[in-house]
This record gives sequence, structure tokens and C-alpha cells, in this order.
Amino acid sequence: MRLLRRYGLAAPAALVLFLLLVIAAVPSLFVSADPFGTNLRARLMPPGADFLFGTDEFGRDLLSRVVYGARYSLVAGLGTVALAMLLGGALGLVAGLGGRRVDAVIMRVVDVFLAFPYLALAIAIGAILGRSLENAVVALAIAWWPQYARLMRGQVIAVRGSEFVEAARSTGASARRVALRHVLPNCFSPVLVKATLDVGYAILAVAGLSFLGLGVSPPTPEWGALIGSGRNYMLRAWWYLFFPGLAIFVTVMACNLIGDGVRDWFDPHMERGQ
Amino acid sequence: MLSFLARRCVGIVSVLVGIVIVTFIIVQLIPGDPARQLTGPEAPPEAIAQARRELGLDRPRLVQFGLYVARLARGDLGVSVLTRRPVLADLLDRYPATVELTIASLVASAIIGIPLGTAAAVGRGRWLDHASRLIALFGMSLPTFWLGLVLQWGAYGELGWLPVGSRAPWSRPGEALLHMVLPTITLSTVTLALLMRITRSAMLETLPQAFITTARSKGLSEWRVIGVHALRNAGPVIFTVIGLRLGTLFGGAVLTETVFSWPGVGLYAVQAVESKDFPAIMGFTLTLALLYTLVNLVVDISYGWLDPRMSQQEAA
Repeated sequence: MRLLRRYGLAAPAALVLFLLLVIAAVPSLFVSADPFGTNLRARLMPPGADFLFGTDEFGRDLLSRVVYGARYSLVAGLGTVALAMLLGGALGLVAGLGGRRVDAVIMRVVDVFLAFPYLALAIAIGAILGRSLENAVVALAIAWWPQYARLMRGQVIAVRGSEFVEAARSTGASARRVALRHVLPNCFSPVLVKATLDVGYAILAVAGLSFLGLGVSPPTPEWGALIGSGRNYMLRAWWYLFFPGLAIFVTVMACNLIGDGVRDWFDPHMERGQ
Repeated sequence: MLSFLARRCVGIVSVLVGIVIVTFIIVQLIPGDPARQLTGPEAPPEAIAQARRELGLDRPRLVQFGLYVARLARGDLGVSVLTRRPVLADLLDRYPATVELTIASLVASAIIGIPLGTAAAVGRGRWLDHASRLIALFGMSLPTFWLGLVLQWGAYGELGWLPVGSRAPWSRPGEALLHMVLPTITLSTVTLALLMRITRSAMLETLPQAFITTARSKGLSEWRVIGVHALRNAGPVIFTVIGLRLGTLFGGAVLTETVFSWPGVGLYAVQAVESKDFPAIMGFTLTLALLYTLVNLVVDISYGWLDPRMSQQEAA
């Protein structure tokens, strides 16, 4: 109760996310049925005692498939954000410290990438790279990094003139050392806050691409792809697409609540719940 | 004001050039030989060679880029592999459906989101405020394509109230509207959540200000104070969010259109992805980026016009 008052809904959300991470790491702890095991006599069975989430068109246990699917969605969501943050963060750091010309070039590129609606760009890149979850992650990260570059550059510019950076320079520290040891650590928290807030979005985006056929190939039980194949049986077997979607919803909501909590924690001036 | 406009337009030109460069680079990365795709798999080598010459594929990259720009300037986006028609013609056929759905969802989000956000700010800390936070949280966390499917299952499959999707012609307005209900709800969730949150925080900043107290002390009704004086002050911020969402919605419509078989550019792009129809995919991405940039420019300019403080700050 004290935790709840202090951190709001972020505390139970963190618990949910922790559970999801455990499920993603060792799904066999939670379900015994084989997520790939077909059973043609139990096709499209409704949820019941034998199959808690029902079965799909090959008689595969959907509970097991949803549980095993957690790892794809979580890893892909985290991977997208990590990749976009590394790429954008590095370029933002270079832009902020690299002098006017480097800055101008990088920020031009950022402006151009921001001019594309990210899903449209990700679809074009994903289509060219071909169907796979890794490619979907790369495509989304390419569409997403400019936001991080812009944020990081703004932070760097705010920090680079401050006295402790001057002091480090005057002691003869190399440009690289100043950048990595003195500037970067003082710019990182807003970037990290944005990253936490973005994980939920990224999971949604990956599931969306996967739903469109730009993610995993069958029979991999990724959640977006499960919804995609469940769509064909929508009117006969509602459970097929319902439970994977519910899993996405719960995961993304947990990520969003944690993101809000992290933001409030880093920025105490910000009014709660704004 | 004029220099503000001029600077914005110069910035736009460099972004447009960049968009063309980026799409050109992506086109270069497309696997397979475009000449072979054009002539078919069993064409003799001479025919392929001729197609390569016609497409300029035997020239240096820089010349190819020049040819690409020249083609774009003529509005030539290539020929769709799937429909065998010029991509531009295909897109022009499909944009009205996308624009229609986008505007409908923007209007729906505004009609519900702005009053709810206002009410949440006025009754801050009370149940409506909490409810609005919950709605916002749900709106940001729902996979929209899944919501669309669940709505289809419920409203069409179980209840039989609403048509399952696709667009009806406006010559039958009642039917056309019914067909729009579910796609509009689906596409609106994120925008509604966003608008509600932005309106709430903009109103929270406005309500304690002195001119609101003045308006109250003049004896104006609370409706007038909040609905006219306060909301007008919060207007530019809300307007900007609406404008920026318009661009994002065009892109986000891909999923909603796919779920509801809505014949817009998003569905076109998804079908193109399935059949590896790269001219169609690139046409979609390029035109969407151009449209997005244009919308952002208009929003930017009207923001300066709506809120004179902005352009004065820029000029100073």
C-alpha cells in the first residue's frame, strides 16, 4: 500500500512486467503444452478446461502459443528502442559536440527522416529487407532514431558550455573523454525517460508490422502474427485473436505505466498525472 | 511575419530534397533487377538490355538520380506490378478514402476529446479527471488493429448492428455513414487519448491566469468563461496537436484500412507489400511524406497566425 501511494500504478505495473519477463525467459515454467504441437481432432476448440485460451486451426494450444509468444514481442520492442536510442543518441552526441558543419548535416538528415510518417517508412524498409522479426526491428529503428538524435543534441548543447565541461577540457582531457565521461552521463536521463516511454509504442509497432506480414514467419507464435492469422477465423473463433491482443494490451499498458512513473521520478517538478 | 514564412518555406525545400534523396536510396536497395521485373522472367537478354537503357540503369548513379528527379517532376511514380497502371493514378484513386477516414476520426476525437479534457481540468482530482486518465491510458495501450477486429466481431458478428467494413458510395449517405462508424472509432483511439491529455494540461495552465479571474468577476457565466475565454487561449496548442496528428493518422491508417478493407492508400500499400510491388510501395511512402510535410507547414504557419506571440518571438 505504501508503494502504491508513493509510485502510483507504476509499482503493480513493474510487477506485471517482471512476470512477463520471466514468462518470456522460461515459458515452459508456466505451460506444459507444446506451442507447435498440432492436434487435428481439436481444431478451433473454444476456451474450456482442456484449453484455457482455446485452440487454433491446427489444434495448437493457444495459451501455450501466447505464453511462448511473449519473448518475441518483448525482445523486439526492447530491441527497437535500444537500437533507435543507440543510433540516435550517438549521432545526437556527435551533432552537439562536432562543430557547426557536422551539426548542420546531421540535423538536416534528422529533419528529412522526421518528415516521413514512421509507419510508412518502416513499411517501405521492411518490405525491402524481407519478412523477419529482426528486419521489422531494424526498419522501425531506422524510422525512429531521429527523435533520439534531436533530444540528445538538445541536451548536449545545454550541457556543453557548463563549467565542469570547461574544467575537464582545461585539464587536457581528450575530446573523446570529454564526450563520453563528462557530457554523455549528464545528458542521459531525458533520453532514458523517453526510451522507457517508447517501449510500449515499440511493442505496438512491432505487432502492427507483424500483423501486416512484415514480421515473423509461421508458425512462430508472435502476438501480432497470431492476431493476423486469427483474423481469418474471426467470426467462428473469437478467442483466436482475442487473447493475443489482450496480451499485447496488458504488456503495453504495464510499459506505459512504468514509463510515466520513471518520468515522474526523474522530473519531480512535473505535476503528477499530467 | 513575412520573414517567418520565408524561412519556413526555405526549410521545407531542403526537407523535400532530402525526402527525394532518401526514397532514391531506398529504391537502389530494392532486391532484384527492375529491368527484368518490367520485361518479365522469360524475356530475351536484348529486351532486358533495352529496358535497362530505357530506365537509365546503365548510366552513372548521379545521372540515374537526375532521371529519377525528372520522372518525379512529371508525376511519374512508375507502373504498379500488381494493377499494371501508373502508380500515381492508383494513389489518386485511393487518397480520397484515406483522407475521408482521417478527417472523420480527427473530428470525432476533437468532439469527444476536447470537452472531456476540459472537464477533467475543471474538475481536477475528481472522478471525471481520473476517468479521463484511464481512458487516455487505454487509448495509448490498445493495439488499434486488434480493437478494430474485436469491434467487427462484436458489432457485426455477434450483434449484427453495423457493416463489417469497406466503403459505401456517398450516393447512399446513410449506408456510407454506417460503414464509417467502426473504422472511425478504431482510428480515433490514440488521437482521442492524446487530445484529451493535451487539452487537460493546456487548460490547467490557463485556468489560474488573471484574465480568467477578470472574466469571472465581470459576472460572465462559467460556461462562457471556460468555453470561450479559457478554451480560446488553449486553442493554439490544441490546434497544433490536431495538425500534427493529421500527418501521423495518414500513416497510421494503414492498419485500420487493412482491418476494415477500407480502399485507401494504406490498404493499397499493404497489398503491394504482399505482392512485392515496389513501385507502389515507394509511391505510397513518397506521397505520404510529401503530404505530411505540407500539412506540417500549414500547421506551422497557421500557428504563427493563431498565436501572434509565436511569430513575434521568432522575429525577435
